[in-house]
Order: sequence, then C-alpha cells, then structure tokens
Amino acid sequence: MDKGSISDFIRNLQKQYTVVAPVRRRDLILFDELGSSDTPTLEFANSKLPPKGFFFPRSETLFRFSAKSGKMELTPAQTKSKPAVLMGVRPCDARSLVLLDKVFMTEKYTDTPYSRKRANTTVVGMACTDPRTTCFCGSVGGDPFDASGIDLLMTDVGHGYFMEALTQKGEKLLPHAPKTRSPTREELQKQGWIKSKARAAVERELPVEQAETNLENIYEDDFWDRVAAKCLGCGVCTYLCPTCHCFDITDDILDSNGVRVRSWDSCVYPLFTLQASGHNPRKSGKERMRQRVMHKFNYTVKNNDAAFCVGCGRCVQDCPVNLDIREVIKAVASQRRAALQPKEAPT
Amino acid sequence: MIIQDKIREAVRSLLREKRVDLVIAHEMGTLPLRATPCFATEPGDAERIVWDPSCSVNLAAFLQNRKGKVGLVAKSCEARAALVMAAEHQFPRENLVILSAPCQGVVDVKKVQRRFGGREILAAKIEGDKIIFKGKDFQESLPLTQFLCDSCLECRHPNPVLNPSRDVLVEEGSPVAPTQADAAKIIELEKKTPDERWSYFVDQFKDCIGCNACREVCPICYCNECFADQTAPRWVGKSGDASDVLVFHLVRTLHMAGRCVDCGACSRACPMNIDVRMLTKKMEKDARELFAADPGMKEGEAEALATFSEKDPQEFIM
Amino acid sequence: MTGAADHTGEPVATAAWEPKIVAFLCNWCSYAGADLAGTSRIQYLPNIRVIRVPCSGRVDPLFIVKALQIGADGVLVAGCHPGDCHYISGNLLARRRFALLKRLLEYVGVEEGRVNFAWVSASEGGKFSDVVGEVVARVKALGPARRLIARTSKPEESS
Repeated sequence: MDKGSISDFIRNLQKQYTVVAPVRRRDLILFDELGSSDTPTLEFANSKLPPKGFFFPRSETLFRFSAKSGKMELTPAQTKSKPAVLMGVRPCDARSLVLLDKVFMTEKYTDTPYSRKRANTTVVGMACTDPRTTCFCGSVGGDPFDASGIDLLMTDVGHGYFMEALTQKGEKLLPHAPKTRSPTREELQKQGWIKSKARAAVERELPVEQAETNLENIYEDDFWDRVAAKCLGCGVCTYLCPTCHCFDITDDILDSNGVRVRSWDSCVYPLFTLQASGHNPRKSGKERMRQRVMHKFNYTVKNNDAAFCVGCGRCVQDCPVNLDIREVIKAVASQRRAALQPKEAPT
Repeated sequence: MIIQDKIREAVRSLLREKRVDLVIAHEMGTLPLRATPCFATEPGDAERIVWDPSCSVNLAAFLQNRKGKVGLVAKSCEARAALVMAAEHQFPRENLVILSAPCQGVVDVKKVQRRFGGREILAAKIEGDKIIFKGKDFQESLPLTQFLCDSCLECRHPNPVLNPSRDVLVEEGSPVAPTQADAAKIIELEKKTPDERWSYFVDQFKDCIGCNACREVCPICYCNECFADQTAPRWVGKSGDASDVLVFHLVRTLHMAGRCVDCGACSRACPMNIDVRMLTKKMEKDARELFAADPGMKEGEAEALATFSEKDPQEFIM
Repeated sequence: MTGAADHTGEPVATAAWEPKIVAFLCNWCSYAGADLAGTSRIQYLPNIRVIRVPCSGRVDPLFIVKALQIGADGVLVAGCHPGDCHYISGNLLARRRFALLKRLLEYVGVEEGRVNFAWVSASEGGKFSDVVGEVVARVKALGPARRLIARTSKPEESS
C-alpha cells in the first residue's frame, strides 16, 4: 500500500473500529485514539509509553459505588463496545502483549477488563526497519520482524508499506486498505534487504540465559549492593516497561461516592511490600533491585517460560541515573565465575 | 579536562588517607552525554571519575539515609543541595567532604532529542564550547550552550561556595554571568492571563504518569513517608484524576519552598517531557524575591521558611 | 448544595448557588473571635465550614490545596495578629508559607480570591463577621470552583 493511502486506510477502519495509533505530542510519541481527521506518526523509533497501557491502563476504574439511603450501589465500569485497531506496534511491544496474556489470561483466572480489550482489539504491527542501539530484542527471544502478537504486519519500504495478514483478525483489516497490490520483485528484494539489515542491527549477544542460570546462585552475594547502589527507586523503568504489570487497587472516595481503581504500581517502591504490621520484607533498595532482576530474568522463565523483557530499551533510555539493564545482565552473567571460584583476594 | 584530573587526584588522596569511606561521583555512562553515578571506595577507582557537561545526575540524592564519612564530587548545585540536607540534620556536616570546581553547565538530553527530531545520536564529543554529534548518517558540530539545561543557563552560582576547612575546591572560578535571564520562561508565563496559565499547566501535566521520578531524583525530597504515599488519610488519589496530579505537584513544590536549589534534575528525569521546573523555579524565584532565600549558600544561616522577619510582606492578608 | 452543571458537566452558578468556604481557624485567636461573634449575636454568613487548628502555623499548604480539590469553592485561613501568637511565632512562619502558596496558586491559574488569609484576634468578633462576608463575596463573584476539582470519584452524570 502506498504511503499516501494511510489516511484513507484509517478513515475506512474508523467506520468499524476505534483506531489507536502513535501520535506526536510535546516531542513525545504516544499511543492515542485518532479523531476523525487525525493522522498517526508512523515514522518513529518507538513510543515513549508501551502499548500495554491500552489493555492495562495507568489507572482503570473497576466499578463505581455510591451510598444511597443506607444501601451501597455498585456500578461496573463501562467497557467500550466498539472494536479497536491498535496500530504502529513494534514487534517487541507486540510480543510483550503475548507475555502479558500469560499473566492476565491464565487457565485459572481471566482478568475481565484486560481480556475483553484483548479480544476486541486487532494489533497492527510495524516492523522495525531501523532499530536503535539500545534495542536488544534479539537477546531475549524477539526480533525486529517477529510476528508474535501481531495480526497484521506492516513494513515500511520507503514509498509504501508491505501489509501481511498473520491472523484471521488481521485478514479482516485488509479490505479496508485502499489501492493495495502485490509487491513487485524489486520491492520484495528491498524488503528482504531491509529485514536482514535490521536483524543484524539488534543486539543479540547479551548473555541472558547465562544470567538466568546464575541468578539461582548469587542471591546472597554483595554483588546486589553494588548493582542497586545507584538506583533511586524512581519507578520509571517499571512504568515504561512493556511487560511490567504490577498494580495496586485502591478506593478513591468523595463524600458518599467513589470508585475502585486499579493503578500501576512498582516493585521498586518501598511501599510495594510494606505490610500493615510495619514489617517490610524488601526494606532496602538492594532487596528490591534483586527482586526486580530475578523476576524479570529468572522467576518468569520458571513460571511463564519466558523472561519478561522484550529488549525494547526504554528503561535504558529513560533511567535518570543511566542504570543500564544490559550492564546488569552482563554483570550477573559474569558473576558466576566469581561465585564458583575458590575464595581468593578480590580482583 | 584539567579539572577532571584535579578531581581524580583529590579523590585519590581522600581515599588513600581514609578521610572518607566512600566517594560519590560521576563516571562515563552507556549513552552519549549521560554520565552515571559511581561509588569509589579504593584510590584506584578514581580513574573512572568524569567531570564534564554529561554529569547530569544530582548526586546529593545519594546522601539520603547514608551513614559514615562520604566524599561528594559535586557541582555547585549538588553542593548546595547537600548543604541544605546537612542543615536539616540529614547527616552530620562533618561526615561530608565536598569536592568541587566551577561548573560550565550540564547537557539537557531532551534539548538534543528535540534538535535532532528523535534521530538517534550514536556518539557525542564535547570539545571546548562545542559538541560534535554523530548519528547513523550525519555529523554536526553545534554550540554547547544550545543544549545546556535552562537551570544551568540561568545559574547564578556556577562557582561553588565551600567550607575550606572541610571541603576541597580543586580550582577557583572567576565570576561569570548567567547567559539566560533568571527564570526566563516563568516570567514569560507570568505575563499571560490566569486562563492561559491554567490551560498551560493542564496541558503540561496531562501526560504525568505519576512515576515519581521528579521526586526521587530530587535530593531535597527525602521524607521517609511522602505525603503523596500516605493512606490515612489518602491525600493523593490513584484514579488518574487530573486534579490528583496537580495536587501532588503543587504541594511537592510548596514543600520545597526555600529549599530547592534549582538543579533541574526534576525536569531532566521526567520521562514524559514535563518541564517540572516551571513550578519549582517559580517557587525558587518567589522565595528569593520575598525572603532572600538562597539555600545552601551560607552554612549556618536559617532556611527561609524556618524563620521570619517582622517586616515580611503581608499586603495579601485581610 | 452544589450548583447546577453545564452541558459539559462543569459546575455553574445559579441564582441559588451558595459557595462552600472551608475556614481554618486557629484555636487561640480566630476561633475565639468567631465564638465571640456568636455570643455577641453578631451575624455572619453560614457559608463557612470551620476546621479548628491549634495555630495558623499548623496549616500545611496541602490542606488548602486539598480543600479546593474536594469541593471547597474557597478557603479562608485566619490566625493571630503578628506578635500575638500563642506559640510565639507560628503565625509568622505561616505568613511566609501563605505568601508563597498564594503566589503559586495564582501562577497556575487558580483565581485570585479563592484562597484568603486574615488576622483575627479573640476580641474581634465584628472583624470575623466582616472577613467572612468579604470572602463569601469574593468567592461568589468567582463562581463555583472548577479548577483543581476532583471529578473521577463523583457519580457519573447522566447526559
């Protein structure tokens, strides 16, 4: 499809779907609902906030309650009935949705607000043709052209987009794309060349599996004091992370009305594990950092068969103290040698 | 370059003589123009220390809850923040050795991102008063001042004021005037109508995700229980209501009145590009205008909001 | 009672609308002054909701901002005259705090006149009544508070 047809594509989609796509606002790329005359920004590295917020919002009203004449009235939150198209999702972020599904839609438990939106949404991916140096999807089981979680994959080849339907949901969107045609041989070649260049560009050498194994052995090491030393516990990494999913549930009440709200929480906050007794099992930054790294790269592998990191690099870019998770992974992976060697003078 | 060597030498001596257990400084980071905190415990660690416009963290934040004798390689704003913390009894002053030198300012990476329209910078070298940027298919040399933080351009105290009997000043500075008018953006905003200002702040804070980065990077925000985290009563709700965002920011700013040194770390830390400084700098300016507040500049002087004068303005009181 | 709402659900003043003013009164002076107004049978407008504090210095800017958030159309903080504070200097420290708070709130666009400060002594029953009248008039002229108000917890209006 020619780039010029994007606007028409979106207008066509908007007849049946709510279209959510990246837009530029205040020098940020953010996912937002497109109005009837809006166009998305489809040339960007990645959005500031991951698309998880569409299914698992920053703050979500679960239900409203109201005390009326001695009785409590509960009103469940409205869910949008119009199906949605989430467009411009990078493969790392699309893969994060597949990972989040393992948390919010398990055999035993289905999170209603999340699953409803997931069922109602078609994910249109945008292949990564120009990964950043902070991208390392290749080290964590991802790829700039990965298909996981994507219903319709678009690839920018300069003058137009390749449109590949990967699922039935994706196929339903193709008729809305105006003036599509089969790609020419040159275009296919170009796509192949872009693909291999992008695949070569992402970091693939991070020793993530080694780190996962080592994490079993270094729980008590002083190593964690050094790793956590510069962490300020600000929470940016967890909020910008596509797979972080911890939340808090609180009631916001005014007079006799209120809402029960689910909102993002972060394991790096001291309050996260503070118990009513006043005891805090993770009372220092060291314990919280250790937990965070173990959760991301060890516990989730055990529980969900995958590290909960898609290599998007947002935490690397936005950590205020440049605490680089890639360095942490390397340090964890090389720590094994110290732990297994006989005790010597420190190097 | 030369100041950097002097700082490293001073840190080496400090650690060799065991005058401190630890020195907090910056070292090279993993991203262009972003240094990262380092914790030096051995004289050999001093090799890693850098002192240049990439040192954008306010290291005084690491003095929170810290025990033992510590050295802090500090720019003037970090030194002032540390002195405010000491004055507020966060640690004994004699446990802190400040190592400092005149500062030429710190790079605001957001200004870089804006200038290059999001194109990735692969490498950046600061050479004198220029930065040489290298991207995938471009290279540009631009003036350093174009990318310094607003707080640095407006800085009235680039030369640190230290205690010679405790601290180490590795180089004297000559007086240098700020290149940008004090609180320039705030003054511009003050000229607008209340309705325009309200729209501005609603728009700015619409994207606040409540991550608390602005609070955590601030050395002055060290309360073990922040009002925003209290649950009985719950002052700041979590429903995402726009008013809760503003309540948090307004009250945090007010709690910093007379204590904020305008280091700019809050604005640098915000992942959503909110210029938090539009509130904190306003507070700093007003505290200075009304009460001659200049936190961290005079050891032993009472903080502006911890004291009073008979002559304090009260024309606003009925 | 809250006023009516316009088509966007925002509060508007009707002829019958009465502003809600939260009044922080210091125990030793202004609260006693209010009490004196009562015992002297000096009328004052019923719009204020009094919160008694030991000293005007007890008032954290948080309280004032929060009052505006949860439904106050205006706020009054009244304390002892400078020099008369029961705790010597509580009101003098508060004076600095309030000056900065007022400036910051007006800077972000909260209308001037929503947040008010007064010195009222224990013997100034008349002044208390005058101050209340003045504050109510100021807030009435501004209409119901629309800025900084909490919306999410309110019941959803049927449109």
